[in-house]
Parts: sequence; C-alpha cells; structure tokens
Amino acid sequence: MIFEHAPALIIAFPLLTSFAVPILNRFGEKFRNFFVLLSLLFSLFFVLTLAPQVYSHGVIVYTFGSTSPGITLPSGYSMPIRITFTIDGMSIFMAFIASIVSISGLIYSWGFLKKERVGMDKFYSLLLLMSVGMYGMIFTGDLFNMFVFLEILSIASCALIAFWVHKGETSEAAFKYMVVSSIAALFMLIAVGIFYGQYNALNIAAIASMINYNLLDKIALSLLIVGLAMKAGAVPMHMWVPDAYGQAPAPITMMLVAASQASLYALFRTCFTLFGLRLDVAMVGWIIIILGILSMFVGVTMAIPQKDIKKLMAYHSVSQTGYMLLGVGVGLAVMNDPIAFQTYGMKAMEGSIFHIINYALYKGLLFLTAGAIFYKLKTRNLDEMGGIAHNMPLTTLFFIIGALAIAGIPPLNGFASKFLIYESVYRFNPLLSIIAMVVSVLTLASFVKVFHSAFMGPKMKKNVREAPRAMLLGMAIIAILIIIFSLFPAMVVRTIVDPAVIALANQGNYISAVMGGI
Amino acid sequence: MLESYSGYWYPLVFVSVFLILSFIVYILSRVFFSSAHKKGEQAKPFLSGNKETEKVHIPASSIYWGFIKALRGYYDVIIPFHTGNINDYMGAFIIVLAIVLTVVEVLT
Amino acid sequence: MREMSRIVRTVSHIMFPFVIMFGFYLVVHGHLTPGGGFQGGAIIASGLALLIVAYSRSRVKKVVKKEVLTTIESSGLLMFIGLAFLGIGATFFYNFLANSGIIFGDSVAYGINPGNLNTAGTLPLMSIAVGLEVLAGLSIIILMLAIGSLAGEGSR
Repeated sequence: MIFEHAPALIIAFPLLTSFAVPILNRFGEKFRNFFVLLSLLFSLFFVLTLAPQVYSHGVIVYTFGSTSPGITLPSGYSMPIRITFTIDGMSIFMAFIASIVSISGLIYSWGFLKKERVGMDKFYSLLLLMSVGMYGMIFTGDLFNMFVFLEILSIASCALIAFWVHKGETSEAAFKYMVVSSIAALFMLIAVGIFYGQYNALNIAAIASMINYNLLDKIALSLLIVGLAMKAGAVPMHMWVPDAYGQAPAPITMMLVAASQASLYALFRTCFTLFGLRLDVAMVGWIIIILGILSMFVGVTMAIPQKDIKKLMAYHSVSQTGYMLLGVGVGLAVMNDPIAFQTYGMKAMEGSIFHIINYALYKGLLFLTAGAIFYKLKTRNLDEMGGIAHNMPLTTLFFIIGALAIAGIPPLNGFASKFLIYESVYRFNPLLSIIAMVVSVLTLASFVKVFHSAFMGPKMKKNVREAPRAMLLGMAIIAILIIIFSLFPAMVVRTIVDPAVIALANQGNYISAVMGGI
Repeated sequence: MLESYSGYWYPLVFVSVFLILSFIVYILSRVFFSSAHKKGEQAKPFLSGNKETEKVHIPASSIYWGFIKALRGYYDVIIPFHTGNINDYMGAFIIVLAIVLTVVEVLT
Repeated sequence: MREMSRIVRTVSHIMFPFVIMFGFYLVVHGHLTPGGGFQGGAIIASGLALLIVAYSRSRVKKVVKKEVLTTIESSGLLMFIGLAFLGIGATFFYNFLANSGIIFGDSVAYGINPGNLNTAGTLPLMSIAVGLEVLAGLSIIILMLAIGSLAGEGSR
C-alpha cells in the first residue's frame, strides 16, 4: 500500500519537484507552477491520510532504507541505528500548519511575484525546500537528522529572504539570519555530539530511554533550549526577527513564521520527549516561562512605536511566541505534580499548542495583507499610507479578521486559545496571567494604530486597485480557516490539539513505539 | 464547547446572541429613531464643535506619542538595545546561554 | 585578471586531467575508500578553478556554460531522489540493488579484502548522483564569482 509510505512521500514529493523545477521551468511558467502546487497538494493529501492512522494507532515509526529501525548484534545488543521518522500527534499537528502555510504561500506568490523576471525557478525550488525542511524537522525521530533539516530550512529561508538581492537591506537581513541560524544549529550540533558521545545513539527515543540527567546532559539541555529559543525568536535573542521578517517577500515571511514554529516544536520535543520527567521540571519550566514573559512584553512594547508595517507585525510575532512559551512552560513546570498537571497544566499546554496553529494562521494572514499593501503602494512606511480601505476593500476585510484574531477579540480564534492560557495560567500564578492580558490589550492598541493609519482616512490620490486574484485567493484560504477555527474551537481542540498535548506529555509511548519495534 | 476548569467558551452562542441583539437594536432604531434627520447639519460628524474643513489624516508616528512619552524611561533603555548589529545579537545569545547554563547547572 | 605565464598554463594543462580523474575516482569509489560524492565533486570543481586561474576568466566562460551546469546539477539531484523512490517496494531509500547480481550487485566478501567495486547496490549510484550535483553546483559558484569580479574589472 502506498499509504504505508506516507511519511516518506510527504517530504519526497516536494523534494522531487524542487529538484525538477530548473528543468520544468523550460516548459513554461504555468506548467512549472502547476507541478509545484501539485507536489504540495500531494503532501497535504498524505498528511491528511496519515492523521487518522496516527490518531488510531498512536506513534508511527517509518524507517528509511530498511524495514526495521534497529539492528541486533549476535551479542544481543540491539539499538535503533537507522534514520527514522517518528510521527505522533504533535508532529502531525505541526504538519497541518506546514502544509496549509506552504500551499497558501505558494498561491499568494503567484500574484505577488508576477512581475519578477529572473530567479523564479530558484524561488519555487527554495520554497519547496523550505517546506521539506519544515516537514523533516517535525517528523524526524533522530536528533542529528533534526539538525540536518534545520540547516536545510535555514539555508533555504536565508536565500529566500535575500530574494530581492539588489536592495541592500535584504542582503543584510539574510546575512543576519544566516549567522543567527548557523550559530543556533551549531550549538544544537554540540548538544547532539554530547548525547552521541555518552549514549552512542542519535535516535531520540533511544537517547530518552537511557538519559540520566548528569552534568553533560544539563549542558546539552541548556545549549538546545537557548539555541532553539533563539531560532524561535524569544527575547532577548529576538532581534533578527524584525530584520528577517521585515525584508523577506510576504509569502516567505509567512513561511518563516511557520519555520519558527518548527524550531519551537524542536524545543518542546527536547524538553518533553527527550528529557521528560528526568528534568528538574520546575526549574526548566520557569526558564521557559521567563523567556515567554519577556518575549510577550518586550515584543509588544517594541511594536507600538514602529513605523514599518512589517517590522511592527514581526515584533508581534515575538510577542505571540511568548504566549506559546508561557503555556507550555507552565505545563512543564507542574509536570511532576499529577493533580496540578491534570487540572491546569494540561489546559495550559492545550491553550498554547492551540495558539500555535491560530498564530500561524492569523499572523500569516496579516503578513499577506501587509504584502498586498506593499505590492500596491511600494512602501512599508505607515506614515505614507492612508485610506487604503477605499481602494482595497477585500484586503481591509482580511486585515480586520487577522487583527481582531491576534488581539484576542471574541469570537475569533485568538480569543479561544488565549482564554485557555489565561484561565489555566491564573491557577499557576495570577501575575503571569495578568501580564498576558495586558499584552493582549497592547496588541489590540498597536493594531488599532495600523488600522487607523493605513486603512482609515481620506481617499488616496494615487489610483490603487485591489490586489491580484492569486493573492486574494491565498489570503482567502487562510481567512476561511480562521473563521472555521473561530466558530468551532472545541472541535479543533478535541480532534487535533488534544492528541498533540497527550503525545507531548506521554513520553513512554514515544519510547516504546521505537524501542519496542526493534 | 471549549471548557477550562472555571469557565467555558461557546462561540456559536456568542455569535448568535450578538446577531440577535444587533437585530433587536436595528428594529428599535427603525421604530424609535425614524424621525431623525437624514440630511443637513445633524447628519454630519461632530468634531469638537469645529466645522470639518479639510481632510485630516494623523500619520502613524504621531499615534500613541503620549504612551511612549509616559514610558520614556523604559523606551530609552529598550530601543537602544535593538542596535541592528549582529555582534550584539550574538552577545545577547551568549549572555542568555551563560545564565541558563549557570541556572541549570548550579540550582538543580 | 589576464592569462598567467606560459609555465603556469602548461603545468595546469598537464595537471587538469589528473585532477578530474582523481575526482571521479573518489566519486566512484565512494563506498570503498574515504571520500565520496561530495568530496570528489568538490575536487572536480576545483579543477575548473585551476583553469580559471591559469587561463583567463573570459576564455573559460566561453567554454563552460551555466545552463549546461544547471541541467547537470538538476539531473544529479533527480537521479538521487529517483533512486530513493525506486526502493519504495520495501521502504523509501531501500537498497534494492544490493546482493541482487545486477549492477553493483555482488555480495561483500567477509574479512580483509582489497575491496570489490561491484558491490553495495544503490550506494555507488547515489555517490555518482551526489558527485554530479556537487561538481555542477560548485562549478556554478566558482563561475559566478569569476564573472562577478570580471564585471567589476570592466568598470575600473
């Protein structure tokens, strides 16, 4: 059955098309675009077929190049040595985000980059590679492989940030992104080396079954947490975010948001699956909570004085990442207390993991609307805008949906996830919850600023029309998903978020699925 | 219905109540304010007693200047912190790494 | 940069075939000796760098075309992923040629032996694919750097 190979095919189709794009390009633009879209649709299809399998069977292990992940020596020593994909509820949850974001980003870029003459084959090649990097990072069951996919993701994103390379600032932003992601990846590599030196294993489950939290493991843990937090854009290591998000083409910014979420996923995977209860959970949980609180507050306060629309939104990305770190940090901090974990720890994690998908959707939509404005007005400066609502009504509608969702106004989806975070974090520590609410108010305030200065006001003198249809379609896909998520949050939480939380909290299942299969 | 342990969130109820209330308000306004003037001075927006003379648009950099001024002490620290220099980015990374390493090694 | 002296050109003329040959040796023997696709490809591309240094950039530019290299690069990558797809009878990347008696299909002899090139199934093929990709990719990079500096020279 082809569906047995779904985990491999999810990354194989975009990879194949990515390599074939330079050749497909010779047969014309439409032909190439069709194949690029087709490969991403294939990936989405296989993600959708994989999801029921994961939800019914638990963890799925797919081995590359062989039928079993391990090897058993004549002495009886057995160890998973092969490259595996280990897919549980959390991975499949992140894969939904990656596929939605890739597809709508691709459709949007048909319109957004229509006027570009050169380099479009490389653009689509790299876009697919970025998608592959995301899928790989969230599916892999192997620490070294996670590093490799992180590098694929970083290099592809770096090249795409510098897409308009003739503008000096994009090259600078890409250079900063490259330095930041190489440093983060190198520190991750050192951590992987520490594990490999101690346990002779690279498989996450194999290391998790042997780990004993000694001095070296603590060093590796710190390197992983700080490196991945930098890649996810946590304060005070967030300064690359406004640079990179601000300068990249809008569809790429949207994919960078999802790429940061993949780093966040790796961080959660490290804390929950690799170490689990062997951690000093309260201490590590509080480290993550403090990073989250700092990100929330500094991100939103820096967003208020910004004049560049994409930089402003980028600072909001930092701030929203804080919510996810906060919720998951609370979940981690109470993990060794079963009663507290059942009553509010689980809810906090549910809230912040639900927030990941909400955030990827509405932040993606906001960046796309900013891109549409940039496409029509050729400026990102809010001072030079005004009255866009007269000219671009649909874009305005999408912006309003996104802005209300990010500010946590009911009944939109941002409210649903923030509600879970507020209520459960309040049980843990009321102060944290209050900070989260204040940040939400400030978020609303700064989006009121954007709305007022860009969309309100007298009609512009320039004759500006609505964005091209492909861009509107890309935005509409996401807007419709936001509305669905807003109206049926309970259904979404039950079907995709709860399995993700359970998968993170239940380290034993993950280990036994891999180690039992040898 | 999305439950937390102290409350719940049911957007369909929220939306339907919102729609019903808007409808009621609309009906009431039709019934009771049908005598309101649609034209003339009354229909114009009221801007602090001044006549609306020209089209005014406040630029983005003027919005929230009071907020920023009130938090001057905070912004004077935090804005220079964002230098845009890659060396400083790495400096922040190293400092956080040092703190986390110390905390994780020493306190646990 | 102009052509270098006759001595340099003659020596690089003699050396170039050996550089290329050594590169392909590393690529093909990837499964037996240290090295492999990446290293071999890099050595072949460094042969191109030798030519660019010895002869002028403009002369090399006329012979080596970027479009050709792009196609080679793409086909190397497609060959790699295609081999991975062919294994899908068992799993992705499955080594379906090992011990099958077809190409590279001999089974590996036990114990110390001089090494048999005709073993290891898809591994040497993948090595060749990677070699093609790397030689074309690095050549494009070197060529682009050379052309870029040529443009700067013209304005001076």
